[in-house]
Amino acid sequence: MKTFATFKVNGQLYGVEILYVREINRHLDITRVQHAPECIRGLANLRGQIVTVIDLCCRLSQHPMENEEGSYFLILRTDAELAAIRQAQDRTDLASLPDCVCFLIDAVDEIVSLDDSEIEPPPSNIGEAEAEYMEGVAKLENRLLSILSVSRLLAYGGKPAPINLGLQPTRKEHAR
Amino acid sequence: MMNDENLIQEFVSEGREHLAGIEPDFLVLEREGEATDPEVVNRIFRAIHSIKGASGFFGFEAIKRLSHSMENVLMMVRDGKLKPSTGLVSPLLTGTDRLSLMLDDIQASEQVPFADVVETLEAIMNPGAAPVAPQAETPLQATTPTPSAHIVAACAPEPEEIEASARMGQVIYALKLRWNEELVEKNRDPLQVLQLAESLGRVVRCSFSLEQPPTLEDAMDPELPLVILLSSVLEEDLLAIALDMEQSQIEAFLDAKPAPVAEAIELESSTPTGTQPPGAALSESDSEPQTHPETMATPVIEGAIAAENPAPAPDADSKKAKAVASESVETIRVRVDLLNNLMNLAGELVLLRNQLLRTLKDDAGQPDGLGTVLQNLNLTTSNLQEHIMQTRMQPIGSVFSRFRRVVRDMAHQLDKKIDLEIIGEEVELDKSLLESLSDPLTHIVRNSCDHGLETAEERLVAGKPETGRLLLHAYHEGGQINILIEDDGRGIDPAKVARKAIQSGLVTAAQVDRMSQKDIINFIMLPGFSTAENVSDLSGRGVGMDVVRTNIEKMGGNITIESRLGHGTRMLLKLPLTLAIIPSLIVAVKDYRFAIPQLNLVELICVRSDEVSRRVEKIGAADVLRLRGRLLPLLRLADALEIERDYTDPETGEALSERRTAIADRRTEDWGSLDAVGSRKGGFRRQDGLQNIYIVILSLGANQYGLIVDHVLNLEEIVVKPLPNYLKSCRSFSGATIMGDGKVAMILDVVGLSQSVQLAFTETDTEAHRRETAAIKPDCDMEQHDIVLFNFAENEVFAVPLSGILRIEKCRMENIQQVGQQEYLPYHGKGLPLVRLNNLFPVSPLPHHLEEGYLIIPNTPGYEFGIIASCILDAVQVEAKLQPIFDGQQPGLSGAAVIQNRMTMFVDPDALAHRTGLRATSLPQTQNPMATEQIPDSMQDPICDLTPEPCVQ
Repeated sequence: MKTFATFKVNGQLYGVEILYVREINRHLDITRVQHAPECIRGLANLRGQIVTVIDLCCRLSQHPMENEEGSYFLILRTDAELAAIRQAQDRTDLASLPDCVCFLIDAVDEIVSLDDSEIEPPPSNIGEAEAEYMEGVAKLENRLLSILSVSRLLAYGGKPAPINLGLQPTRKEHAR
Repeated sequence: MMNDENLIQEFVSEGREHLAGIEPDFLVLEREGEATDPEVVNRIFRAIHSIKGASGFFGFEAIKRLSHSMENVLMMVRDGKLKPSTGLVSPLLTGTDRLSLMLDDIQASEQVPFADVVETLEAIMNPGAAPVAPQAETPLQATTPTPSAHIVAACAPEPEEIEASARMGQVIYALKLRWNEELVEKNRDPLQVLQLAESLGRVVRCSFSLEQPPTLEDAMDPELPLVILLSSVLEEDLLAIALDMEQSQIEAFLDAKPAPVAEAIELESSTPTGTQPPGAALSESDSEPQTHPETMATPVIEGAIAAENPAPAPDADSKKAKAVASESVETIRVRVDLLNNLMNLAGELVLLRNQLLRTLKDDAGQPDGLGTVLQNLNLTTSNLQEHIMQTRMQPIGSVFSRFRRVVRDMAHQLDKKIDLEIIGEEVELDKSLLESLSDPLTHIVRNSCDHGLETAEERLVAGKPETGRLLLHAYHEGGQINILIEDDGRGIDPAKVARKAIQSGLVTAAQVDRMSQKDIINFIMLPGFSTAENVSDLSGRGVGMDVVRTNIEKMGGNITIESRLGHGTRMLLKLPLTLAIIPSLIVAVKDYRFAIPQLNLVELICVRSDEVSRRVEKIGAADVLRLRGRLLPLLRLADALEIERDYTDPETGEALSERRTAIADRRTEDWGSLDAVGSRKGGFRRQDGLQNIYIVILSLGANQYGLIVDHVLNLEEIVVKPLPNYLKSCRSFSGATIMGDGKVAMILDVVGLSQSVQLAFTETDTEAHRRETAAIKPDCDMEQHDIVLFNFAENEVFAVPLSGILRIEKCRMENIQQVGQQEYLPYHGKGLPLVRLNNLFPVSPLPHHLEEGYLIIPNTPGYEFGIIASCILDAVQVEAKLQPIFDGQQPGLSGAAVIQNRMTMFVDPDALAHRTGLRATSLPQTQNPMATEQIPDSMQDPICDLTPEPCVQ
């Protein structure tokens, strides 16, 4: 039995395991970072800690979130906090999150508990980018919940992300 | 057992500290010889002793035995029975190395060979027993006094034996083994004690058979006392501790007075010869021939002294040593992560304070008394932060001192004579910085020893003193740490470097022709420039220098190299004090704020709108700023970061416009007048120049460039937060910080920024070089001078070269104080000696009525003084030919010329400094071949630049 925090991005219902979620916040002041990958909205100050703001909409569907007004910040726990959970709950499968990151989301939804049996592998007909980050789907009463893989969503370095991260600004600069 | 792990960890870290601590002491011992302060020997002794003690406790046999041998030698040194010498110190140093090897992997410590060291050490101690020394590992065999089959274990030593021992500085002890219940509990049988005794000295004989070792029951028998005769350098009390025995169980036989042993009995015993005594198997594996040149060095043994000094050292000595040992414990161990947490919290507090100050400043309706409270909060926070920072600070001496050893070893290996001078060991640096400083420094020092400094013969041929000089000098300057590494070796040959650079296709010959020597030498820091081939071509200089530079830059510092062929090389590292909180300049482009570390900051320039066209020029595609005769490439921060402006480019317009739509605010149009900067189509000249432009001059190693920003806000101490991993690709930033208003601001990476737009240093350099060549010889014909004109007496005009001035300040004449013949002015907490020109030259004195004058503080490394002026007239660039004045007999005046129709006398600050001899107190006062007037100005430039104190407008 796992518990998921669910939320809406671009009209779709997504969920991440609640163990990853530290808090949900509104009104963080984002500072844009020039030359940052496109899906990184910028940095924000969360009580003295610098948080990387990831545009989940951009990450999942390749186009940036349109209406930033009224959006929420889903702040994830960092490794230091996760380490305690790993030990206490014997969850070695939890992803490693060295930085403090948060997702920009449209709206917060309910908290659901699901048995492993209720979670099905992602259907084959969904978009490639989305499938990349999806761990599984679950049927709620009348909705479909896509469960996101935090480790894959936050992977950097490693294999190249399937979306254009806009890493070439410096070259453009030369061309001028 | 868990506890054991922790204890062992503790032991290892303590042991490391001990070893690190004594290495410099060994070198002192070697250098000073007999004149060494006894405390130094005591310190080494205590360190080794505590390692030995602890290793015995944990059962690390190898460490115990090695440290024991070292301890024995040290004890003889301490008691004056051995003279310290290279032959003595070398094996001790090797021993120290082995010990640290053992500590590195404590569980495998037994695998580290050490028998050779022990042998050498024992040979030093027992010069008479030299032939037996190779077997010293198996003391029982070696010390069996007679090969007879029947050893009469008369357990009182013969007078000759006592005498022989005394000659080696040893004393014979009778160890009376009386076992009782308590010892049984400790589970020590006589054999173990015997083995332990072997490790502490030479077992002369013992009263029991080794083939049929007595059992515990035997030992319990009061009728059968077991006695071991041990010859050892240890004192009685130490021996008791080492053997874990009561002192009453040990009896010493002093020279010529062999006291009878009451319990001595005779025992028939078969000879142990031929049988493998316990422990022999172990020592066999240890004695792999590890031939180190150092350990093979013949030890110098002062047998005569040992013989004259047969009695053990007075007890008082060892007691004193113990007292000192207990006294030195005044620190506690704190985990580094705890300190880091404290550091972070202090950082948060600083942020909160900034926020509070900002919030309340805007709020007019403050309750009474809040101001004072705020001020206190402000002070306390700063204080707290400072102190917490200090907990992480360590003197740089801990890194420097290891170079004594490095240099010593290299000098031995390379057969050179090198004198290492270390200044500023007490300068403190953040622990993390110190750690990462070690490698680059080692590299530079090794380079200097290996390739920079010549052999004694070569030096003599070159007319230099036989002993090469290497200087490590750390000092504070402008909130940062400077580390100077200087040698008086052969220097780097720019021609060779240039040739290599051309060969490897880095530059063309034509480009090299236009480059300054400094830039050519900087090639050695380019990655890939250092290839194996270079080792012979460039005598190795440059190998790995790119790594050095990368490391230093990673630490937020920079490195400059200067070299004069045949005279030496000088490298200057500039480092921040700490990485965590740094003073920074906050600038803004539109509403984005950025922090620029003050370390990179040279100065701030505001070019007034009507001056823009005059001061900003275009060379090729690059905009450059004309600044005091230098040309600096310019870079617009907005362009570098692609912060939107109304801008279209025919080639890349498409890609850019896409980005533009993503940025909300495009309405600030004030910058329209400057928009064409950086584009090929326009330049400053074409603009109306309605705006002042702010240029931040940044230093980038030897290069500088100007960064154009919209606004210069303020200086602030910022807490550096590392860049999140997702942003590592943003080379323009080195970190982030939280500003007083709670918003995040990015910290600019000066290096990354310039790389991202490939600043055209070469183009400006070409131009600069052209100007430089025009102004190379000071004595020849018409020459360009950048000078400051000033009055001393009202109508006599003097000139000082602009490059020779550190700063100019106003001063009240009434503040001048006279001490003897010398006048001083309180200046930055120090008394600054003053120079009146009329005291040195036949010129008119200052006007009497003068109330306020000026102080010209010249830029003369090593000297510190101020020249009084009554009035500063102008700063001008003139072409003039200097003519001798006063028959050229006045050092300090380089000549005179007519400037602006006035006879003007040119003051030469360097010569003046030499003439007055007013040396600075904070700088090295030694003969420094690089710091005298032999050096062309261009070489001194980066080190003695104008102080990086920003001053807007």
